Amino acid sequence: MASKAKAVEKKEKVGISAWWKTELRKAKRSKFLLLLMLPGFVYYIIFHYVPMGGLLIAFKDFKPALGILKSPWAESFGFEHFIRFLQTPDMLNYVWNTIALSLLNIVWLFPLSIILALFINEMRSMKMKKIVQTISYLPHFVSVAAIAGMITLFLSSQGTLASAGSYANEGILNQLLLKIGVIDQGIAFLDNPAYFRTIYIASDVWQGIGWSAIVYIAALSGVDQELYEAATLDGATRVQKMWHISVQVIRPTIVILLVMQIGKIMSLGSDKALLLQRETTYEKSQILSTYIYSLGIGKGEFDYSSAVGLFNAGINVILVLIANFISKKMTETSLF
Amino acid sequence: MVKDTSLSSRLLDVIIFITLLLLMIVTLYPIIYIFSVSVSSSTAYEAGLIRFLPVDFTLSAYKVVFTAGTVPRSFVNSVIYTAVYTVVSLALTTTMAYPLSRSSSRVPFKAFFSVVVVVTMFFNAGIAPNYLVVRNLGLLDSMWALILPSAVSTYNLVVMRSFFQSVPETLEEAAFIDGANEITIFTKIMLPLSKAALATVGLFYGVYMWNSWFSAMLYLADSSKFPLQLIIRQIIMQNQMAAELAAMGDTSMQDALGESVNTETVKYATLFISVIPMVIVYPFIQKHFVKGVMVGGVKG
Repeated sequence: MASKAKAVEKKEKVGISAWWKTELRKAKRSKFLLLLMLPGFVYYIIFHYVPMGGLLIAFKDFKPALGILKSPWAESFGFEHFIRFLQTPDMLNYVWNTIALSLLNIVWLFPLSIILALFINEMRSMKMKKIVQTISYLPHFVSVAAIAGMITLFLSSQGTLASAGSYANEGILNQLLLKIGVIDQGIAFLDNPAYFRTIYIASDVWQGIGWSAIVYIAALSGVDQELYEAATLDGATRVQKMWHISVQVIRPTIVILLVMQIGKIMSLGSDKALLLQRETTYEKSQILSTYIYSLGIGKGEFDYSSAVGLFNAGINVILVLIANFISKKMTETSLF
Repeated sequence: MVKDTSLSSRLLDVIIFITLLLLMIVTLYPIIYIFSVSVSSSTAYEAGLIRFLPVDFTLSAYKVVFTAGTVPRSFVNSVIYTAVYTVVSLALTTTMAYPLSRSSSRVPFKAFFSVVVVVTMFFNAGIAPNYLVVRNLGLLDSMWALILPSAVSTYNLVVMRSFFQSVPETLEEAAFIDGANEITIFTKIMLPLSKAALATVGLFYGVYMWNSWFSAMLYLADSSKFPLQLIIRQIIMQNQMAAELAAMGDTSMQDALGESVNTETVKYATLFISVIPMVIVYPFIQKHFVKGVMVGGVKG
C-alpha cells in the first residue's frame, strides 16, 4: 500500500506531460501490443460507450426523425421522464417485485447451496462425490428458455375436470393432482399471480444450487484434514465438526458473496421474468427490467424507458459500491 | 482418517445420502420425463399414464418436428451463430486480454485501457440505447446483431487475462534476449501455452450463445433466422405449433404418418431437442467451466 501511494505521488510530481511522453515512447516500441488491443477497444467504444452517450436520450423528447442529438430537451429541465416514472402509481410495486424476487433468491438459494456443499464435503466415497457434483451442475447448462418451456408444460392447464378422464391439456403436475383427487379441476398456475414467485424461485434453486455450491466445495477441499482429526480426538461429533470447522472455513466466502448479492438486489435481469410472466400476473411478475423492456421495445418509448433504466442503473452502482465497502470492512476482501 | 462409527455419525450419513439422492432425482426427473413424453404416444399422454418411462413407444412427434416445423432450420441457425460467435469473441477477447496481462512497463496506456474495460462491469446503458446503436449501424435482422453487441464479455476477458498472467514474464524476457519480437512471442509462445484457457473461454462463449434467446427476440424479425431457443419460446409459450400444424393441414399430417399426433408431445420433443446437445456435451466441458469459475472468482 505504502509503495503504491509513493508511486502515485511520484507520478503527480513528474506531471501529465512526462507521463504522456513515456506512454508514447512505449507505444512506439510496442506498436504490436497497441494493434492487438485495437479491435477490442473499438468494440468497447461502439457497443458500450456510444450507448452510454446515447443515455442523453433520457433527458430528451425523442423524435426518431431528428435523432438523439437534435431532438428537443424534455420538459422540467430535461427531467420530465424521471418525474413521470416517480409519479407512476405502480412504480413502487415494480421496485418491490424486483427486490422481493432478489431477496427470495438469496433466502433460498444461499443456505441451500451451502448445505449442499457441506453434505458433499461429508461424503466418504470420492466416486459418489464426483457423480453427485457432476449431476448437480447439469441444470446450469440448460437454457432459460428451455427451463421456462418445462415450467410452462409441466404446470399447464386448460381447467380440465377430474371427471373428464382426458388430460390432453394438463401438465404433469395437474395430471397428478387430479388423479390423486386433491383438486377436481386443473389449476393454471402460471396465470395466477399467487404462484409466480414460488415458480420463479423454485426454478432458480433447481438451476443454481449445484453451481452455487462450487465455490464452497473448493474452499472446503483446501482444509487441512488434520484439523478434523484433531477435533475427532477431542471428542467432537461430525455435526460439531461441520459447524466449528467447515462452516468457519467458508464463512469469508459466504460473507463476500452475500454482500455482493445484496448489492445486485435491484439489477435483476428480465430474461426469466419475461418468459414466465402473463398479463394476468403483472401485479407480481412485472419487475423493473421487464417494465423497461415492455415500454422501450414494446411501445417504442425509447426516451422514457432509458430514463427508467438510468435511474435503476444509478441505484445499482450505489448499491454495489456500498456492498463493496461493507465487504472490505468485514472481511478485508473486496471486489475492486 | 479415524473412522467415526458412532450412531450419530451413521445417522448423519443416512441423512446426507437421502438428501443427495432426492436432489439427484429432482435434478434429473424433468429431463427424463420430457424425453419419455416425447417418445410416447399421444393417447398415453392424454390419459395421463406417463410418470417416468415412455409408454407406447413412438417417434411420430419427432417425425413432425423434423419434417414440418421450423425446428430443423433454427437448429442449423443456432449452430452457425454459436460457431461464428465463439470464433469472433475468442479473437477479440484474447487480443485484448493479452496486453492487459503484461507489465505496464511494456504496454502503452495500459491504465487507460483497463479503466475502459472495467467500467463496463458496473455500468450498462440498458436496453433502449443499445437497441438504437444496433439499429443505427444497420444490423437489425442480421446475424451480426446477435454476435457483435455481446462479442466481448468483460468477465471472460478477466478470466483470460488471469490465465495469461500466470505465464511468468521471465519466459518472455528469455525470448526477447534470443531476439524474438512481440509478434513471435504472442503467436509462438503465449497462444500455444494457453490452449487450455482458450478452450475454457471458448466454451463459456459457446454455451452462452447456444442458450441465449433475448437478443434474438430483440433484434430479429425474420423468423427464418431465429435460433432454436427463440423457437422453443414460440412453440411452447405462444402455442404456435398448433397454428403451424393447422396451416399445414392437420389431416394430411395424420395421413402421412398414419396416426394422429398430439401437439403436446410435439412440444416435448422440441424441448428435448433443445436440451439434449447440452446434456450430451456438459459432462466433458463442466471441468473447464469449474476451472474458469475459480480463476474468475479470484478477482472480479
